[in-house]
Amino acid sequence: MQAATKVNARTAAAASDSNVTILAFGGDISSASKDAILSAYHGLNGEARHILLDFTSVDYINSSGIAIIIQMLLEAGKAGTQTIGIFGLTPHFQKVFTMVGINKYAALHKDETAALAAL
Amino acid sequence: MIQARAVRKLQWRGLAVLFALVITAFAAHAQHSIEHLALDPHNVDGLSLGHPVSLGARWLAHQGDDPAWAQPGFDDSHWPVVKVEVPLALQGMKGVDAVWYRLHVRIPPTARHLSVMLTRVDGSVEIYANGARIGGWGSMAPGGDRLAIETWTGAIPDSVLGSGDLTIAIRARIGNFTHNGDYPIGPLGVQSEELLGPSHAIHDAASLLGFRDLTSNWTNLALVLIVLLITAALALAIRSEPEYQALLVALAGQATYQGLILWGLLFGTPVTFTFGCLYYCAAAVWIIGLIEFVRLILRIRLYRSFVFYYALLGVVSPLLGICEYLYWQPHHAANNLFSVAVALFTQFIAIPATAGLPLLALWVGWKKRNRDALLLSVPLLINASFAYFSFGLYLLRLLHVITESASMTAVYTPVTAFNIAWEEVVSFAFSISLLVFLVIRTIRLAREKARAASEMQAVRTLQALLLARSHQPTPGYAVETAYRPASEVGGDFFLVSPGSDGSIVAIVGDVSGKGLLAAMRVSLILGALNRESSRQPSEVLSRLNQVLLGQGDMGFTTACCIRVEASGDFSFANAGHLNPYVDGQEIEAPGVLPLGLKPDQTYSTISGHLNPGQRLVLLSDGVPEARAKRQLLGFDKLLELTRLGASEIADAAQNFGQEDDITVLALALA
Repeated sequence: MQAATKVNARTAAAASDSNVTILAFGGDISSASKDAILSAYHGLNGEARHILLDFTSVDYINSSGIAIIIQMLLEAGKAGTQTIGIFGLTPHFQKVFTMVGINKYAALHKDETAALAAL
Repeated sequence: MIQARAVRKLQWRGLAVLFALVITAFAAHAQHSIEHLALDPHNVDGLSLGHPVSLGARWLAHQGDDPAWAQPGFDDSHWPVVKVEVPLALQGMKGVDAVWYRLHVRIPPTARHLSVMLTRVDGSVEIYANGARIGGWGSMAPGGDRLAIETWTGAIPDSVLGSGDLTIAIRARIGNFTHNGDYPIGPLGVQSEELLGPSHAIHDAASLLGFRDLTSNWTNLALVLIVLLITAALALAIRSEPEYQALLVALAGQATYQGLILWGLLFGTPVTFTFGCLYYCAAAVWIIGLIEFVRLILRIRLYRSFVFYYALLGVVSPLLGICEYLYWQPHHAANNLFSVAVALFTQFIAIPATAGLPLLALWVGWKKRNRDALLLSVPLLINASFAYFSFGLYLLRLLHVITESASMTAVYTPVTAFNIAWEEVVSFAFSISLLVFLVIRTIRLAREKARAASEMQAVRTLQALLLARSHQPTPGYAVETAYRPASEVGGDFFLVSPGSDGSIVAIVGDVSGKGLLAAMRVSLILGALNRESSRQPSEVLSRLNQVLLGQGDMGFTTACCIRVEASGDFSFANAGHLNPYVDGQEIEAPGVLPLGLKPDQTYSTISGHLNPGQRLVLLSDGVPEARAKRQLLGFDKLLELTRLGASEIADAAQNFGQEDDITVLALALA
């Protein structure tokens, strides 16, 4: 039984004093999460320059869920104006994200403090 | 084809039944209304008592309470005559609690075995005939009880008859059942009938009335329960369709409030806090469940507006019960709150939703060519027809085409043939049409499921054929594979291809997604790999990437391709897949995007050496992502597991908790 995906957007200040939008995900991330995740991302209207994806409350990500994250990162890459970072992944999914090359499009950080410090 | 014709026939028959019902209701309505006979209460003619006679709608009435007023000899000539259909408050009596009604009937001196029947009486009441108490209910303490009685009969003792004069007196306490005397309009009201006649005839009349009252309500409740049982069976049998669960909840709400109405008819409606809350909450459950059912059938997203509406209903409904309770408290400051709350609830919350649903279904059906939506619009239109009817009457009243009392009568007066109210006709027709909808939809879904199963079977056969070709004889190598799809068809694939130079090329991959689409992608990939002439891992992946990119939106595919020489030297390339393991050691490669995402993606080659006796394992993510109690098997355990054979690894993952397809390929030099 998969838990529904929750997405909350909030803002924080980076070490460089620039504003950072944090998209915090919760529950499971699968093909059913597509609308929730991409709507939240598109809802930022390209205005957020620094975006952090918070996976702290995510229980499980399957291959379709990873496909959605990659799609989002590729979109951001095409726009070329956004910096995306990721934090809160369990060691298992850090390895999976590295394996599928996500770390080349978004820096992986241990937690929010490390992610904000890196921006 | 025959089934389709049968379904069409059923639809026409359903429409014919509905049409007949509507015509019957119209005809019956035209025949009947309660007559408020303006008889002289000082002298009602009861001389021809062969059958029940109406006592009329004019009574002598007096505010207050005095046991002497029950006596036939009491002089009531100064008492005013009141009309039962007009509130006492409008007939000069304010703040009514205790009130007596009297009426004089001339009967044959020889008349015996007489009874009185009263219908729709409110409050606490005692009935007297020539001074003898012949029945009653409720407490006669100030205020009385909040009871609404449908039908009451009482026999007059023969001992008080014989004089040829009969004085019927009604003692009532309605203080707790009225506020400022405007409702109820008295113990007897606009819906009351008062009959006197031979006991056997009164008994028959009461039985018939009870039968008529209960028949339509029992029929409706029985019909709702039948639809509920069928829906429950569908909800249990087709758990993947949450719309049936929503409908089940809706029908449970409908059955509850219809049951409460029936309870009121059988035992009197107790106007209590619990009863009121239960009634309005059941109605809210019915509306919320119905909207949710329609939303799911129409494939509309659960927008916040839906959630807000459900929350509103959930909060307002129990509040209405509280308001109703307060309403009946005499002289309570919040007396008018209930009227306002009910008006707000019905006019702005419940009715717009009920009336809007068929329009929404028609719009979605027309716009998106959704057959279910069009089909569902029929029961929804029937369900909303009472709201449209009421709105039409309201407009006619506004335009002064009809009077207010005519519009009230048209909406609320029961019709005769089976004493069916308009709302009951609508409820009956709605249940029948909903049943027809469920039958037609279930037949269609069953057909679609059968077709999908047939297509799935075809793909399974194709996949089995392709995978059988994936494992050719591999002289010089010991290759073991384990392939355990999570569903009927898998999204994993593997291929083992021995070369003429003594080398072997093996590939294990995983397409994103599951089911038929994933299986089709696997078939496409295996077809492309079987046609592939290159035996260089990075080239194989590059070409497969191009093939997948050329197929449009195909999601992504991870794959690890390895070439092993007879000497034990090996090279591999990886596209987002799990790295190979040699004797429990992961051979790391840089992370690369999966296939089918980026046109210019390159795949680097990693080299190594496999000694005799060592085992090289390729596997899919179904192994480390086997899950039990939300815990993943994980990568750490792979270090131990990959020392085992392919089947043992797959068994271990399956036993842990299979979530995804599991594929393991173990290779060693023979």
